[in-house]
Amino acid sequence: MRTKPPVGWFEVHPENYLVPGGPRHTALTQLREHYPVSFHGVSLSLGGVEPVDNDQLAALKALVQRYEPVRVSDHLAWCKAGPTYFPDLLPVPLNAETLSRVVENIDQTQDALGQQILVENPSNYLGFSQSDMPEIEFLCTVAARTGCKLLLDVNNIYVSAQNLGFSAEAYIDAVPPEMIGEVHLAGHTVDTAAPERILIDDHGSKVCAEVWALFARLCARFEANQDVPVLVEWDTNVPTLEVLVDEAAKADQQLSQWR
Amino acid sequence: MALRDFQEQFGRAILDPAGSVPSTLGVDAASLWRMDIYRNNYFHGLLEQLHEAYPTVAKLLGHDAYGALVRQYLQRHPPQNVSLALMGENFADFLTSLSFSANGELICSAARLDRACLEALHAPDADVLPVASLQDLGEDLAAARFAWHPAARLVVSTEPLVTNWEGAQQGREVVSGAAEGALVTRPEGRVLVRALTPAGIHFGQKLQDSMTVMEAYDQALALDAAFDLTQCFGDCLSAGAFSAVDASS
Repeated sequence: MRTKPPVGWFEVHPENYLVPGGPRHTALTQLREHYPVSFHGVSLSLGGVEPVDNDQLAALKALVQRYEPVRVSDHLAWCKAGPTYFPDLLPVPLNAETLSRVVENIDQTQDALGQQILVENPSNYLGFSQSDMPEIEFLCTVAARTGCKLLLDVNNIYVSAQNLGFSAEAYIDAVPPEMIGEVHLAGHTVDTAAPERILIDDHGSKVCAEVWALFARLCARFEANQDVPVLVEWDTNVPTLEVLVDEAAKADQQLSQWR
Repeated sequence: MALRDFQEQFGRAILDPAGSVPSTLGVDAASLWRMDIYRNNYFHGLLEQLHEAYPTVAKLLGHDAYGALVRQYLQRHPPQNVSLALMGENFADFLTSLSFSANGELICSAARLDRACLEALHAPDADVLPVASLQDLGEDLAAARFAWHPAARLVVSTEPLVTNWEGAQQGREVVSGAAEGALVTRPEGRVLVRALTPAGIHFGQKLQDSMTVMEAYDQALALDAAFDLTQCFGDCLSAGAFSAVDASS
C-alpha cells in the first residue's frame, strides 16, 4: 500500500474476512480505498450434492455489501460432505446429475447475492469413469443455463490437460469468448515424489512458457473491444512485489497486442 | 453411482488413515495413488493453519510431535467451518485430555494463551478507553465499573505461563517459577500479552463480572494480601483492556 503498485485491481478470498474485526478488515479497507477488489471464493461447494449453505451466503452478501467487489467468483468443485469441510477444491464427475446440482447451486447463489457470479475451471488430478462430458462443454452448459460467466484459469487448463491427457489447445478453442468474465494465470510445479509425471497447481512460481502460449491463443479469440480482467495468482513462495507486478504487466502487454 | 454416494466415499477416502480408495469411485487402478494429492492437500493445509493458530504449542512440542498430535486432533475434530481463521477452537481441551511426559500443564496453558491471542486478533473492533479519560474521576474510581474491550482476554495458569510462552518463541528452555496468568489485548491492531499474578487475574475476572474496582480489589486481597492494585489496574488500563467506564454508581 505504501508503494501503490501500478496494477488495475486485487483479488482476495472472501473466506479470509469471515472474522468479526481486526487487522484483516483494516488492511482490506485500506486496499479498497485505492483499488477495485474482486472476491474469489473457495468454499461455496457449487459442485456439492447439498444446496449452498444459506448462512454462508448471507455472510458473503454482507461482505459484498461492505466492500463492493467488482466480481464474485468460485469454482467448479465441492468441499463439504456432511458436516465436514475439506479446505480444498475437490473434483466432481462431469455428468448430467452433477450438471443439474451445479446449475441449482449457482442459481441459488446468484439469487441470494442478487448478482451474476463467475465459475472457474479447477486443476484436476483424477478422472472418473462416471464422467461423460468434457469439462469445457460442462462449463459452457452451466453458463448458458444460469447466466453466470466463466473464470478461465489457463494454468488449470494446462495442468489438467497434462494430468488427465486431453488437449489444452482444443479446450481453449472451444470456449465461447463472450462467456469469459475473467482470466487467471499462475505457476505450477512438477511433483517429483510421484510415481509418474504429474503437475501440481501451487501458484508458487512464474507463469511457464506453455501457459503463456495458451494465453496468447486465447487472447487471439477475444473481440477487439472485449474487456477481460486478467489476474496472476501467486500465493505460495510469494516473490517481491516487483516480480509480481512485472508478471501482471506481461499479461497486460500480451492482452493489448490483440486489441 | 449417485453424486451423494460419490462425495461421501471420496470424503471418507481423504480422511482414511489407511489410504484406501473404494473401487466404486471410478478411479483408474493406475491412478489410485493420486488420491494422496488430495489427502496431502487436506492434512498439510490444516497442519499449517493449526501451526499458525498455536505457534507456541508447536515450539514447545517440536515440529514432528506437533504434526502427529494435529493428525490425531483432525481425526477427532475435522473442520466444519469454512472460515479457517478461528479453527481449532477445542484444541486446548483436546490437549488436556492427553498425557504428556513433561510440561503437560504448561503446554495446555500455552494452548489457551495462543487461542486467546488468535481470538483477540480477530475480535470485533472497538475504541480502547483512553488512560486520560480517568483523570477526572478521582475517588469515584473506586466505585467505577468497566466494560471490557471485545479483544481483551484473561488466561489462568498455575505455571509461569507468560515467561515460558515468550521463552518458547525465542527458543529458550522451559523454566520453573511462580504462577502467572496472562492478559491479552489488541491496542492499535496488535496483540499484546502481559503477565498478571493469580490475584491480578482474579481482579480482572471480577471486573469482567461487573464488580466495581473496590469490590474486585477486596476479592483480590482475599486471595493475596500483597496484591498491588495500582500496578495491576494500571497494567489493564494501559494495555487497552477496557472500552468504557461507568462511574455513575
